[in-house]
Amino acid sequence: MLDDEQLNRAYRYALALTGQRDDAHDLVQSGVTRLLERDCARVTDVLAYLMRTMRNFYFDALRRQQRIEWSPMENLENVPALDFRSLEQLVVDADEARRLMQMLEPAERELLYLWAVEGYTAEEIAQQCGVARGTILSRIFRMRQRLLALQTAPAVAP
Amino acid sequence: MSGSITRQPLKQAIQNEFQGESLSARQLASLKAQLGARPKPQRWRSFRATAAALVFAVGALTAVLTLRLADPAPTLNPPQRIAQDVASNHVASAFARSDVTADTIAVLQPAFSRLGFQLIEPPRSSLLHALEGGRFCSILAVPAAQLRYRSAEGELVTLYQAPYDQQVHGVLPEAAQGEAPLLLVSRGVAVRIWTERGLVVATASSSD
Repeated sequence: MLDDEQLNRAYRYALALTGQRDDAHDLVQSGVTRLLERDCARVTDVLAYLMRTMRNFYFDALRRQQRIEWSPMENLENVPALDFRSLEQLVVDADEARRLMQMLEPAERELLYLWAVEGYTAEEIAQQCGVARGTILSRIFRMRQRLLALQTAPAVAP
Repeated sequence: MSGSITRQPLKQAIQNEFQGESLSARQLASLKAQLGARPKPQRWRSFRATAAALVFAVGALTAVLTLRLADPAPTLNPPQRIAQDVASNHVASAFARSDVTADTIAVLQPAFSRLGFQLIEPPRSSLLHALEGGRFCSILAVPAAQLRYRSAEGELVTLYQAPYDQQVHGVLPEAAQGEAPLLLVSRGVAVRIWTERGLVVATASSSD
């Protein structure tokens, strides 16, 4: 049903969502368990279905734990929209990339991962995540702002 | 995740972060064993069961065809069907009393415990100014709570909560991600739909 590479892709996606290796493995396992509970005979792309299941499971769990709150509209209405070209121009070192991933919210990490690793377009991400394309573009803008702030912030001594 | 002091495009740096990440051989083996142990679908074993299934299928097909001929309306997607159900419930609520009268969710909660989920506080809005009570209803054949509110202008506004199942309700905006509710109009009723804390939530009002 799924080969090693597909399971590893699911794991990397889970890692993007959770930010933690152990949590990512747990999430893949939960996704597989849920996958098996359903009739997947008519599912044409099992990996995409698994990733979607994992995503729903993860955000449902976050909601239950009330670790994410609803801030209506996320104030996205007043945020300019930028497409991925604005991120492609940015240059970072590995440490900055890692710090950026750590400071992002799960939905933002997911966005960055789907763009950089899976090669999705903004439209495809909007479809995958069930949000408007404008929301994705606004998140890109905020992410870019965060990265620029991170790069201009003075280095903290270890 | 791998480390480097080289500066590179963000996209490449993110790819590098994930490149070396993979499940251990043990984790892979465990997952594949889990996948391999998938139970095979049960087969019909008795003639009686097969006959009953055939009778049911013919009956269901007849019912569907009859309904289709009687109502040639185009197929609606799940959010549109939710809006239709919500609008019907909203219109009917004008003629129905509340099953429970209460002015806070906490007071309503015990009466709706048999729905199997906790009612959640709706977002603050002038539309949902004062809670009056609630009654049982259904959305897409799933038992739901209908809460009756008055807006600041005194108009009846109803709010619905039911367990969210993506297979049934389709993909809906997620409040936790700051997504705006889906606004649909059915039978002249403005219906806003979103998901929140595992529930599908909708409001219905006639005035906007």
